Amino acid sequence: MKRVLVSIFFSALLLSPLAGWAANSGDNWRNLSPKEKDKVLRNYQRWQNLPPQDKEHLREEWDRWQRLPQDRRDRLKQRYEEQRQRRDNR
Amino acid sequence: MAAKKLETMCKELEEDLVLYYYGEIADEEKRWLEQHLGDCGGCGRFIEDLHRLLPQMALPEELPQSFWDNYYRETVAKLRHQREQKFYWRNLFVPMRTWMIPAFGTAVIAALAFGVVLSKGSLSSLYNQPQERIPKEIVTDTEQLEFFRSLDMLEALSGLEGLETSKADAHAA
Repeated sequence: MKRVLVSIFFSALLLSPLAGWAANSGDNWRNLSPKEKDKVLRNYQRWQNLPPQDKEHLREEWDRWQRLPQDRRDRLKQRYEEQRQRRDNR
Repeated sequence: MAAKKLETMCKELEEDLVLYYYGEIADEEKRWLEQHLGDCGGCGRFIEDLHRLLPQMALPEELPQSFWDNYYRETVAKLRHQREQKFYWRNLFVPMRTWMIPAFGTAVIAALAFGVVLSKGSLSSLYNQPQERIPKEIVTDTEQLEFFRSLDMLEALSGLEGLETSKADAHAA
């Protein structure tokens, strides 16, 4: 009986990071606003219909984006938001 | 010792004479047979032969202790085998016992983790999607989620960088 309890304890210990990861993964989605969720869904659907070369290009852009320094990313993000707002206002 | 042939008797009475010898015959037949034995020498000698030979054939043999030991072991083994056959399904679980309980514990914890994921926020936020179910790969993978969030910007990334560069060049000039 003692051995069984110890086994269960260690299993729980090994699985706790997984549970945490699962909870965090769910959180990321839940923390999005409905507007952002719509955007993600829309982009996902659009992504599915893209030709393979465009998908490849976007994946490369994503990798390049992640390698950019944080301040440059912030600047580009800001620039993009400005452009988007200008476009929306028109 | 040379085997001596049994005395010839009235053939049709052979069975009755053997039963008579063992005392397993009805009284009326017994009386008739006894009367016959008085008259028939062959049958009388046959009964005498039975008295002489049968006790020798049925001599109780003293069995050695090793026989009884083996007998006991075999009986126990047979009983065990019989019991195992009757409850064969129990044996199916014997090898599992060592890992089944930890596996069960693991499954319970995994189920709990899944439950936490589903119930921590509002369940309705998952089901009340305007168009369709949220793809699992987006919900569970942070990087995927971020990728699809940034897809519009990624498409414009080269242009944005070009704009940044030209601005920097203009400042430098």
